[in-house]
Amino acid sequence: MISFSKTRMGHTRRVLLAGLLAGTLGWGVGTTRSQESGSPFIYYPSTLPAKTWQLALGATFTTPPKELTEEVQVRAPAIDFHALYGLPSHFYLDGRVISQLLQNHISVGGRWTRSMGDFSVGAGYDVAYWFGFLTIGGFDSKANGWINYPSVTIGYNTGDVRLLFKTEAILNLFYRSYVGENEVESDANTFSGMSFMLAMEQPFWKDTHVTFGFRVTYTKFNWIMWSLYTTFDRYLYYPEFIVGFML
Amino acid sequence: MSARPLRISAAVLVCCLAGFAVPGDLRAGTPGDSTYSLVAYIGGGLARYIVAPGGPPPGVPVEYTRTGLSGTVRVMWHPDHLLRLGLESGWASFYSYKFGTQPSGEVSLSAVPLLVVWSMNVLGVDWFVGSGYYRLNSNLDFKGTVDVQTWSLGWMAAASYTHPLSESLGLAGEVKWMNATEHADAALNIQVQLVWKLLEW
Amino acid sequence: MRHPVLLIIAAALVSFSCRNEAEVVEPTDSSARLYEDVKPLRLGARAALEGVYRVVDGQDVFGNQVALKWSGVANGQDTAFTLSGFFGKDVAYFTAEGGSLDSTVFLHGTWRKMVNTETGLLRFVILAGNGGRQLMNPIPVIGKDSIILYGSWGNGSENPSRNLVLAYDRPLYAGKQIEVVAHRGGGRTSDLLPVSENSVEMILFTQRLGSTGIEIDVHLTKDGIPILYHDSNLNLRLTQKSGLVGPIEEYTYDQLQAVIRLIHGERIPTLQQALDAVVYRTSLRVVWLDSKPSISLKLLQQIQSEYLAKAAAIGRTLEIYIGLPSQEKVDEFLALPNHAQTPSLCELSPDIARQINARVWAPRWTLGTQNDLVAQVQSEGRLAFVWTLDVPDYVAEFISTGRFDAILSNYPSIVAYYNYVR
Repeated sequence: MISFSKTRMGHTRRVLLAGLLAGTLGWGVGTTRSQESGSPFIYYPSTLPAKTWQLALGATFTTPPKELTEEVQVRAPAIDFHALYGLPSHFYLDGRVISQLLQNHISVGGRWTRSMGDFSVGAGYDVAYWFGFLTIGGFDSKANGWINYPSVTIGYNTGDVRLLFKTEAILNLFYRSYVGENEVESDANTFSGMSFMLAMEQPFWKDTHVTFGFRVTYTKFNWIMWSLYTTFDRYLYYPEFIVGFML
Repeated sequence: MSARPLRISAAVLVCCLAGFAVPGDLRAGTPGDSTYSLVAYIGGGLARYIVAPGGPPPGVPVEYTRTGLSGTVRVMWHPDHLLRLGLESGWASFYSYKFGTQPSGEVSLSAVPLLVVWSMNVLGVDWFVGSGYYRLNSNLDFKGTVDVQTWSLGWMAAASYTHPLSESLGLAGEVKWMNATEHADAALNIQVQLVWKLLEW
Repeated sequence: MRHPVLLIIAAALVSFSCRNEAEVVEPTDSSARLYEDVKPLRLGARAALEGVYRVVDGQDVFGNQVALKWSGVANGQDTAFTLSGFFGKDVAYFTAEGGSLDSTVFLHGTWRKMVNTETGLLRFVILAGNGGRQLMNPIPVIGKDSIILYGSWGNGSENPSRNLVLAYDRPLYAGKQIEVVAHRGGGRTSDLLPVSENSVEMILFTQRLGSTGIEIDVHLTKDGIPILYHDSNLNLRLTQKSGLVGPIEEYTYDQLQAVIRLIHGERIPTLQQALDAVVYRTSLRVVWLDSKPSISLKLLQQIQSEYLAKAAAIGRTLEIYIGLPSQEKVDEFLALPNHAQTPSLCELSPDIARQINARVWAPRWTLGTQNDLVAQVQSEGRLAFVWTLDVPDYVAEFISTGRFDAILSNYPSIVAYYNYVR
């Protein structure tokens, strides 16, 4: 459970993060996609040539824990847009938008990668802002927050398929929710949980490459479930399928 | 488990192992090909309910049957690379039990999967992973009969080896794990399937 | 090299897809028999022990104050009394039983944090000089720090060894009380309580959590028996694995009794069994009948009338409301004879509550405190309940700034805490 208090996130920090986000998504418009190896990637820890883009569009399907949804068991789909932008010295920027229209998650982060034969490793740090609103069916609710995700990825290239294992920590920096005229905030820097993903990236048909992944998240707070106002201080389990088509 | 299902299981297993001993080649859309194809898998075999079955309240006499029949209908699109995509359905008997005395009753549970399936051929074996829903069918016979269906989230994983019989026909042995997660139902299937290249372009 | 990597990844994938269900193992106290010789506390002593206490030692785990309150469950002519403590931190509570030996009070029980799975044993002693002697007086005189509970707590079934010391601070809030209405018959199965939701056992348990009322979910079986069950379908969330699936109203009462047990082994109760427990064994003041689509409101109206008469016959203060969660149920209610005099609870707009002369208007908590609307409804002689509010900070805000007459919650202990420490 998040511990709530009535303090606010610093304005300067929010402006800096918003600027970073806008800059990354807007930076380099007009440059063309380019891959050093010829095989595009999104999650695989590989080197992206400087000033080149890699885009992907797909979907995620998360099964919320029955502790929260109780009788209803569904795989909640979300649109998943990913953009990478190459930087010098094995670095690149990673921007991602996950949207269910009523709730959205926008992240921007940096990656560094290193290859060793068929293996490669990557390290990254993402800063995410999420927000949601619900004003129908007995709800007059909205919420938003900031989450950080430090991550490590290990990759293995079989030749036909690129396999990867990514693990990331989930750090909740800020949470605010409203119901009607009432408001609750928290800026406790909280370690909320971890996620682990196995994925493969490969050609599907002709030059179309796909990401096909399975991610499990053990966390006390998952932004995608904000409207259920969880009170559990327990690590709940969220399995998630990820499918992405590289553009 | 009675002797008959055991003999059938052993026969199916031998067929599967024999299949593994023969190099299979009924594979459209291997890397480098520029052709696409639609391949159907139709077959059946045995389902063994692997996890602890449900039952009546503690203390009530109960007698279980955990092995039954199962069938698969699957259509896969084989593009020009390693990964394939398709749909799967079929039917599987999960388990049944008789309970109580005077009056006694009987419960049986079966499932129809409706899954999106991905597959790859690695090491000469087709590996399938599917996700979707199971249509569970529960039948109760106790002071009247009740036949009820419900949906359950679920997945499946399977390994299959295909022995080619002709250009467009093959015989496959498949081991498949079915899991209807919402109701904690899981069965291991051993099946023989006819593999038929429906379409190639 | 590739094949072992694939195998490792496949094994990892399978292991990731496995999960351990959280569980709370009820602690067992091997020394409970040591308390067999204590004498039950008199009514006056029990009443004097109630109050708001400062947590002198143990604040890091339980917060800085606790509200102590007794509850009782009748069994024939006998009543078993339990002292509960409601903390403000982590929705923690304790329940304890005991009595006095000479002028010393001994209590033992368990503690639990509802937001997680932490639980354990708890023991208290009130020495003669720390309030024990005063509690034995016919009319105890109680003031700040006049009662000190020296206690110890432990995790699980381990012997309690860590300190928990409570000092009397002030009486429980005595102003206008908010009814603490517990969800699902008194508590939710997903909160890992020791008894199942919507069971008779839960109805008898819930006063320990501070509840003064309950909400129960009423379905109709295929043969027309009203039963308590929340979900539309039989499932593993609420019942033990049976092989039966699908809508519960497809089954007769006998079929459900023969095969189905709730998650902790209880039988699915009939509505009459549940109301018998409420009327004759508890002091609960409010019952909210949440009418599921299958239930006939005419039948509910008959049962409501029967049990209101039974409660009145034994001098019990009890309100039973027929909950109307949808327009379909409102239309069905309007077709009932004498509906305007039938106590009902409307979850729709205040206008509809007014139209059907509902005794209670009950909006969802996610609309906020809505103080103007609540005041308007109350000015018409109706009550306003809010559902289903669990977030502790919002509970605090709704109690301190809101005007609702009752809060429906899965965490009655935190509602009780903020109600009593005002």
